[in-house]
Amino acid sequence: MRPLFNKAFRDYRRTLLSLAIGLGAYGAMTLLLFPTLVEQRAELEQLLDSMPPQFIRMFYQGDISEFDFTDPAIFYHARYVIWVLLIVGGMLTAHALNTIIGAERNNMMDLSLSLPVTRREFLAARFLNVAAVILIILAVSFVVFAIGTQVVDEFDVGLGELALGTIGGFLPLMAQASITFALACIARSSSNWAGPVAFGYFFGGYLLMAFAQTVDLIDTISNVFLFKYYDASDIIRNGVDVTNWLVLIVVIVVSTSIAFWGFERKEIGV
Amino acid sequence: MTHTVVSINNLTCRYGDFTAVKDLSFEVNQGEIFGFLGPNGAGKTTTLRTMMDFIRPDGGSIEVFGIDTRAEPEAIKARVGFLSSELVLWENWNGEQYIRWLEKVRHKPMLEEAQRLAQLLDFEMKRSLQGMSTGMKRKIGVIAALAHKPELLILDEPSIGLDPLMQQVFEELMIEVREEGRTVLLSSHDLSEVEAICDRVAIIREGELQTVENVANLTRLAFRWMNLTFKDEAAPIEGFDRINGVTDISTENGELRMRVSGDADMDTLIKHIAQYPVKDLQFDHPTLEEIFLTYYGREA
Ligand SMILES: Nc1ncnc2c1ncn2[C@@H]1O[C@H](COP(=O)(O)OP(=O)(O)OP(=O)(O)O)[C@@H](O)[C@H]1O
Ligand SMILES: [Mg+2]
Repeated sequence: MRPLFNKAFRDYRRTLLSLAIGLGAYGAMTLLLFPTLVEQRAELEQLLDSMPPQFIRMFYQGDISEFDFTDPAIFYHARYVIWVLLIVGGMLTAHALNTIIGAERNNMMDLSLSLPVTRREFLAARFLNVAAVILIILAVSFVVFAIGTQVVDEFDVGLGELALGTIGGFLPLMAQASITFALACIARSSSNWAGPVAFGYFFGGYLLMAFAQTVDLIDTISNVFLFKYYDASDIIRNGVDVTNWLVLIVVIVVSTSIAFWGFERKEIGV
Repeated sequence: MTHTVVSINNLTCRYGDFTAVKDLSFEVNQGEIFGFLGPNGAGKTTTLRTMMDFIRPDGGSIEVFGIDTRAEPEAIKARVGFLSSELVLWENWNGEQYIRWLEKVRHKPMLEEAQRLAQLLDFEMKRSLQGMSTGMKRKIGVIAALAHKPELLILDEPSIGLDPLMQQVFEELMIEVREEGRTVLLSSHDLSEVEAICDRVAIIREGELQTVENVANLTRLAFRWMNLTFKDEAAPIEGFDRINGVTDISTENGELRMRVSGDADMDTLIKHIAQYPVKDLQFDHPTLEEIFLTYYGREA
């Protein structure tokens, strides 16, 4: 199990490194722009007022009347966390598909499973790797913005709140990865639906959020998608919403169970 | 008493509606090199992958070391070296790193044996696997399968990609494995390869077992095509048909072709040929298909 995890982590470390550096640099840059944003608050509000609400919803899932770019918590979520979710979520979706269905298709899985490891160990190593990747990215994000609270006066967020708001991102990302693993484990490798469904659910859910508060039906539908259950700004300002976390934890537990169940029964490469 | 290492019992494997392996049964004994022979699409890979629990039987069962493959596949895999027919590797390593990693997974020392094998197979352990040729990758596949000294080797078309010299080395390695009382099950679609090293063969066609035979018997049964060209343009036919074991005589473009069975009267044949000014003489091995037909011919 341990060598399997080491291998999986090693294989992903280059991607992880560039991701961490890229997101860290992006975070630092947005932070440095924050004071200017606060300064130009009046112009900004005018600009936002003239925009359709759907546009704002693409960055902010909370109550739209409360939206204020110059609020540090909202700024953190809307200008940074949402990108982490989209980029890391998308990459982990691709990664999960690749380590199961991709490996079956290119015969790599035969190589792994010809070793004396159980299928459960193989999959557990993959799950752990994904969890580690998410935690590292979130840790980097936290460190960059924690430094930000010291360096940029206007970015006035408590470290505890910042930590909680950031680590809250683990749940939707892990949920998306587990869902993708579950789909990849129950799909035949010769079928082509797992990828589109996993990506469609993730990015489709994100786009739907934009219309959620304006159209009732979509508002109801959006309950099915992960983005509904995590908002860093909400955690920073109002504390953890336990229901949201519970929903995401249940999603993770259920899809992880399906993944392990499906992988145990999988006909490799068929 | 012979000890059964692999026992395949009425194995059936389906892909959707298509039955790739039908009611297949045979046994492999300890200390033998067993060939699993069949043309493309016969069901060899399907059978071997079922042995490794990659795919599951739709009927029947397989026992390896007396353990059902569905019950405890890891226990079996710890004692098996497997080589896939379509080998891919983790390319960001060199051979030595790969073997060191395998040591950790298998909890067995492998590096020293791997280095010995690498030397025999002319493989550079310190070279990155990235950009290696097919044959080179094949070699590290063979090394990885052999280096933990498994009791059973399951090799799916092991010699594809190896040049004739390396094929020879590979054959010697297999014989060495047998001398140590270990067992080899290898698949192939090449009769001459199987003839060279195997003790027994199972022949499979369209998912069905045709026969399990000692290689010696198969060779005796086998025949060759003899192709003769003569210095005088016209090829003589007369007389050949009277020689025992010579049949299917034909001429084409001045070449005389005949089928010579394994127990033909070679002495008479050679002496008969010697009456003519021979320019060239060549033997063709029969195809698997021809061997099957011979089988049916004999049984009929
Ligand atoms: N994943 C799959 N889905 C559907 N059919 C398959 C699949 N894999 C193999 N088959 C079919 O099953 C049959 C047996 O295939 P298999 O790969 O076992 O043959 P083989 O004896 O190994 O052939 P080769 O010498 O070409 O490697 C073939 O007709 C093949 O087309
Ligand atoms: Mg094959």
